[in-house]
Order: sequence, then structure tokens, then C-alpha cells
Amino acid sequence: MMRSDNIFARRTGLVLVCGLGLAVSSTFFGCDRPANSPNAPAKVSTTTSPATTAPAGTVVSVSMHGVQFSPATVEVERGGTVEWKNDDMVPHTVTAPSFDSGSIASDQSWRHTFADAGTFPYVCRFHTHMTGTVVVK
Amino acid sequence: MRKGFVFSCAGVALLLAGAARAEDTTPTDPQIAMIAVVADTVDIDAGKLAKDKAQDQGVKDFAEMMVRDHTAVNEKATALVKKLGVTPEESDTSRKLKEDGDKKREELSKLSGAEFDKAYVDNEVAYHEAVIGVVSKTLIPNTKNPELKKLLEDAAPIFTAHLEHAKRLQASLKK
Repeated sequence: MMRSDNIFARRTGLVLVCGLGLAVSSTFFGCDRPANSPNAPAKVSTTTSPATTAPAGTVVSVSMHGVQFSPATVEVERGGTVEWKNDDMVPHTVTAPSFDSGSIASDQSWRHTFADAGTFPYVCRFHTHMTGTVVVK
Repeated sequence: MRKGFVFSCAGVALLLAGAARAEDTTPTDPQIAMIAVVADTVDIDAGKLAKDKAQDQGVKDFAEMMVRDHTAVNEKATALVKKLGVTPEESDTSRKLKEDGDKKREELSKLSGAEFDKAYVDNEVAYHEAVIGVVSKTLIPNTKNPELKKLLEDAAPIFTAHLEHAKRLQASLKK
């Protein structure tokens, strides 16, 4: 594995050297753009500030993107529907003891209507730290 | 006047030196496409081996996720380069990646049980750290085509989620 590390380190180093040579090139500036960092802070989390309760009959959307549910918590009234859209390249699931979407491929959606009041935490079975909650009032 | 001349000469020399190096080392879009596909394939192949050989259920599940996710990323990448009319092109980096991947898989295939689990997960942590580094520092900044750049930017958080998962597994195997 160290061999792979070495080649990446070597390549990166050379690119940085090139960047210095071509001081005005976008390559150099691009290297440090924080937006490109995979370690950049996660997108806005809505865990502590759920959306306003959507009335029954409406559809609340949740995006699956960057291996996260967004917003992570949604509220609907009894009879309300939540639609999950997979905006990632990889498949996800929406899984709870009382419902399971099965595999949702990239660009596909899945809906579930909530008849009963309660709090329904769910996970992606494929990425178990990807979690969300539906609160039904 | 004289000072300006010296500066401009130095500037040109620096630019030429940079350009000469850039020709050798800065990957082009077709090379970037190949590096991305090879990096994915190396991890798919390691995952396939681990699905069969792993003893720990958590390691087996992780290996399945690697095969599923990296296959999905490769499908997207392949569809995009086809749409763009780009033919992925080999480079020293892609060849080295493949060679190292083959070698590591051979090493892993000789291990079994808990020893295999540990070696596979340790490698996944190191591999994802290396891939995330090269994707964010070398591939994304050098990609010219905006759609290819977006694909790499979308893939980066997926690889980060894999790294975090691998690190949790690594910690749990030490207990």
C-alpha cells in the first residue's frame, strides 16, 4: 500500500511544482480551493431544526446526496407522503422497521405515505451511518 | 528597464520549466478518466476477494458495499466518457495503480481468517486516503471538462464515507 501512497504523493508534489512554475494557471489555484476538499464540512444539517409540518396530501422531498439524507428530519401530518430522490451516483435504501424501499438506484425516487402519527427513524442499509427521521404529527 | 528585462527573462524561464514539467506530469482529461476507472476497478476487485474470504460479517458487508458503490461510480464514469466522446488513456499513474492493486490482491489472497480481515481493512483505509488525496488535489483541479469535473466532485464525498466506514471497522477489529 505504501507504494500507492508514494505514487500519489509524488504526483501531487509534481503538480504543485508545476503550479509554481505556472503561477497564474488555474491549476495552481485550483489545488487549494476548499470547495474541492472531500473533507469540507457537511452540508447544512437540519437534524435540530425540522421543516415546518407539511399538510396531509402534500409530498415532502428528501434528497440523498453526498451519502446523507437532506433534510435529515422532515415533518408531515398523518396521511402525508415523503419522497426520497437519489441524487448520488451510488444506490441507497430508506429502511425502518415498518418500511423498506429496497435499493433505489441513482436518479430514481421512492415514496412512502405515513398513515399513523409517530417518529420514524430510518437508515440506508448500504451506508448504515446515513440516517434520517420522519416525524408524523 | 534593465530590471524589467531580468524579471521577464526569469518569468519566461519559469514558465517554460513549468510547461515542460506540466507536459510530463499534469494529467489530461482522457488520462484522468482512466485513472478514475482503474482506481475504482482495483477496489472492486479487492472487494470481490473480500466478499468471499472475510470472516467478520462487518467486513463482508463493507466489501459488498465497495463492489456495489464503485461499480455504480464506474458505470456513471463510463457512460459519461462515452457521451463526451473521450477515450480513456493510460498513463504512468494508471499503470502503477493497476500494478499495485494486483500485487496487493495477491498478497491478500494468501491470508485467511482474522489476519485477512485486518489486512484488507487496513489496506482499504490507506487506499481510500490515497485516492481521496489524488482526486481532490490532482484530478479535480486538472480536469478541464466541467461534466467530468462534476462527476469527480460528486464521487469525493462517497469515497470519504467509505474511508470513515473503513476506519470504524479498523477500530472495531482491534477490540
